Amino acid sequence: MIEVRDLTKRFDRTPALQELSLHVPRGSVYGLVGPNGAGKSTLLRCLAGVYRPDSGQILIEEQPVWENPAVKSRMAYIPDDLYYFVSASLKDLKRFYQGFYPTFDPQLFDKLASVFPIDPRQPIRHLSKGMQKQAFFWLALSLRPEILLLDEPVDGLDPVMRRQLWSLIMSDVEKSGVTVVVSSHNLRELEDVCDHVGIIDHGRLLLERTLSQLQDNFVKLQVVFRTEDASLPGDLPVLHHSVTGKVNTYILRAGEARAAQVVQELDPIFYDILPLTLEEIFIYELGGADYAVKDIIL
Amino acid sequence: MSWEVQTMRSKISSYKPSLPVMWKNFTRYWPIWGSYLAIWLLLLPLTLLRENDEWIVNMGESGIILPFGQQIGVVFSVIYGFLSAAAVWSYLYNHRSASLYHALPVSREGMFLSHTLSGLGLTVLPNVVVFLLSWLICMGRGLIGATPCLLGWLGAVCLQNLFFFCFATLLAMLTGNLPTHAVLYAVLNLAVFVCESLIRIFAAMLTRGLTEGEPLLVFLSPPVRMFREYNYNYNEERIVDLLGYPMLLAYAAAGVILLVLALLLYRRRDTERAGDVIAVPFLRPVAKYCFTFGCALVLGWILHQVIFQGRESLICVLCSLLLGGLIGYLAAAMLLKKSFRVFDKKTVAGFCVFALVVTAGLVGMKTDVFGAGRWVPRADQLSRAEVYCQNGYYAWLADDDPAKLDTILALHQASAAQRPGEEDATVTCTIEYSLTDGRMLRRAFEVSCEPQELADPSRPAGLLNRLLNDPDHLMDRILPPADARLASIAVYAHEEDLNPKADPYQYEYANTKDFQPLLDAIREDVLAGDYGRWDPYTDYREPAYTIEIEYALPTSGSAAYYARTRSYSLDFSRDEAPRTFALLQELGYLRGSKR
Repeated sequence: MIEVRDLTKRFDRTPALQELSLHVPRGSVYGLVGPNGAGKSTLLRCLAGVYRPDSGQILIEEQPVWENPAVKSRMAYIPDDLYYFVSASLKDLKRFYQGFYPTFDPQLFDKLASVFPIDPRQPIRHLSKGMQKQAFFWLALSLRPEILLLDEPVDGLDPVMRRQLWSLIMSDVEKSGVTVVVSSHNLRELEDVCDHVGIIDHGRLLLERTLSQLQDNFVKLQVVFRTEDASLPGDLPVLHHSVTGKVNTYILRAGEARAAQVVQELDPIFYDILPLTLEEIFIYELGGADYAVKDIIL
Repeated sequence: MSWEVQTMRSKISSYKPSLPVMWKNFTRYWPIWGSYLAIWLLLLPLTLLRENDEWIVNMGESGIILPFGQQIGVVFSVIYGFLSAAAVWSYLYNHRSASLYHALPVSREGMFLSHTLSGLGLTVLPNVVVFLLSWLICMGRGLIGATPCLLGWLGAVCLQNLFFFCFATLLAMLTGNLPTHAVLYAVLNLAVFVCESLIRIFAAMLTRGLTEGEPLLVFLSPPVRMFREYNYNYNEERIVDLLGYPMLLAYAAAGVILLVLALLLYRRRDTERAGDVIAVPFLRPVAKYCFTFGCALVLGWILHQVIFQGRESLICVLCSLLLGGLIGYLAAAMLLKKSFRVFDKKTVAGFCVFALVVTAGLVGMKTDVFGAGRWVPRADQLSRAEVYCQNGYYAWLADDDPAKLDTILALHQASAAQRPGEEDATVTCTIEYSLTDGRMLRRAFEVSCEPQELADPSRPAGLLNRLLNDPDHLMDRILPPADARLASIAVYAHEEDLNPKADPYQYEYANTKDFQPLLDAIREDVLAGDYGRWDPYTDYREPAYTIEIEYALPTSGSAAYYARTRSYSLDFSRDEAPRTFALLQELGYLRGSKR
């Protein structure tokens, strides 16, 4: 549904996105993960038609997003840093957005009042940061968008509201086939909701997989060898290696079967193969991109 | 409707304004249109409602209504033009608000049109309301002739609003934050006028012959031009003639062009430019050097006055301009870089280039590289010429006196060629030409007035002597024209002991029978060389008494009689014009004898 081809965006001389390409299938929940300054928010702003790409293309069903109101009317974008008119209430914003989006559903807006504990007549500036975020979710969901672009969407929300919001989004995905592109640093949460993941670093897409492909491709191997100088064969891609006592822990870019086959050939005293969480994949994958977690001792 | 059909973009439909955006602007910025409306309601309809019938009859509808379209209209248009533009484009100055608007499903063209229409509406709609209310009041009071005057006012203020809003809109596209927008608007509205005036001041200091004169590019400082030239007048049939309307129309047309430029910039504007001092990258160096140049002139002039007390030397002017320019250059570099750390090789190189250009420019002025100061017009290019010296004696020549025009041109040529030494006694001689193409040309020279120079008719002082002390010219200058009908002659004694009355400091009006003897006495003094002669060695003397002569030229009709009445004053010191002084004493207009 969303096709990004060789997207480049610079801020003066600083490259924010460099020939980035990604593909988001219709009805998927696509998680954008990456370190701070990787270009996630820039990418989302480009997807929302806020930033003009320097080069490359952003197509939604083969239609460009930039300066295309028809395409933009089918998407809702919730930025990390929200903006509202100083004295506006949620009711005012509802009226404002209703004028732009023909798909705005007033019944749904009224129905969602039971989910969000917010008085729509109250000025938004009087709401807490978390409640402001809820207010914008309320509006965004009422737009009935086909594409939902979320930048750190649940940042600042309490755990109950987080769960509630994700369940609302997932039900929209299920019922209406909404495509969601979400950036977050909360990888445990993304792991629960995303079916596709793209890891960005320094404005480039390091990898793009379905979550299951990603998890199938990385394993954690814990092994106790018979001799101290034993080690895994050099052709096996090891992302990280640590030793605690006699236990060697390896993070491998390999499937479980291949890892088992290799380790069995070494006839260890003990071995165990564990799946990696998204957070672990993120950390170790970026370790290869000079973003390794350092053991800092002060 | 299929997805593809819905997403097909039309160039015309992209210009469709967005009503929610416009409505938001009207509801959000009500203090702007509210205060503008309140001001005009107080100024126009309330005046029409409050004033009594007699005053309205005396002033006439046009006399009451039209002045509101002049200076006061320009002032409010300048202020509210900016406020409206700054309000509707303020979202561009904040990254979050810019993101909100640019994420909306509205094309850039549609967004531009929406903000432009609503921004203009903030002032134009109140104008219409004020017009309608005023018209109703006028009709209610039976002022039938008010309608064209009100339409004249409405047209004038709307055209002014349009220009200043468009200008502020263009600047909003060039900048990325409100303070810069405000400063740029204030500066650019007056920049050309101020800069040209300062360049003329420095040129007059450095280039021999050049004078400050009137700036030619006033049209590039619209408030100044509108202030000076938008006016109304009554023609001979007492019908109001709205002078300056073509100028307002021209400015409005220029405003539309600026608006198109603004649209072109807006279409390419990057959202992330919010907060930048200059939002158009390729204009940053231009802005830096323009700012530097402006600072060099303005700060340079101030520094020249403060440090060098306005000394007319190349070194003093150069140092002042370079110091002013350096301050401006560093300030511009810091603003654009958003950092105080601008002291690098690139900055030094940039300023060196600027300093070289300024030095070359000033040296060019000093050496008169383009020959502006040396240029002397041809006689056939002149319609009129005037010569005057610093002590107030002057001569004027009509275009039908080619002999004197030639003498003035000879004086100009001789003065331009002469370089008086510092030890010389000099006078400032100013020559002002009216050229046949309508332009004015003014040149001023320090002319050496040593005694031998005064006696030499080929030298500037000799030519001045010939021009200013020509007996015919002195008669023309001092006595009323031969066909004039004298209206009054009044004598005023500056020195108390000359005053014939106990109650001093009043004009003593002469009897009609004394007019001719008085004029004869003055004529005799002039012919005898006892009054009116130009003498560069005579210091200014306080006048002992003044004679004021009022006369009318022979015309028909009472209106024309008053229109053509002239008066002038002649100052006398006690030791000049002995015949006139004696006669005034004898006649009793000055103390010394009985009346």
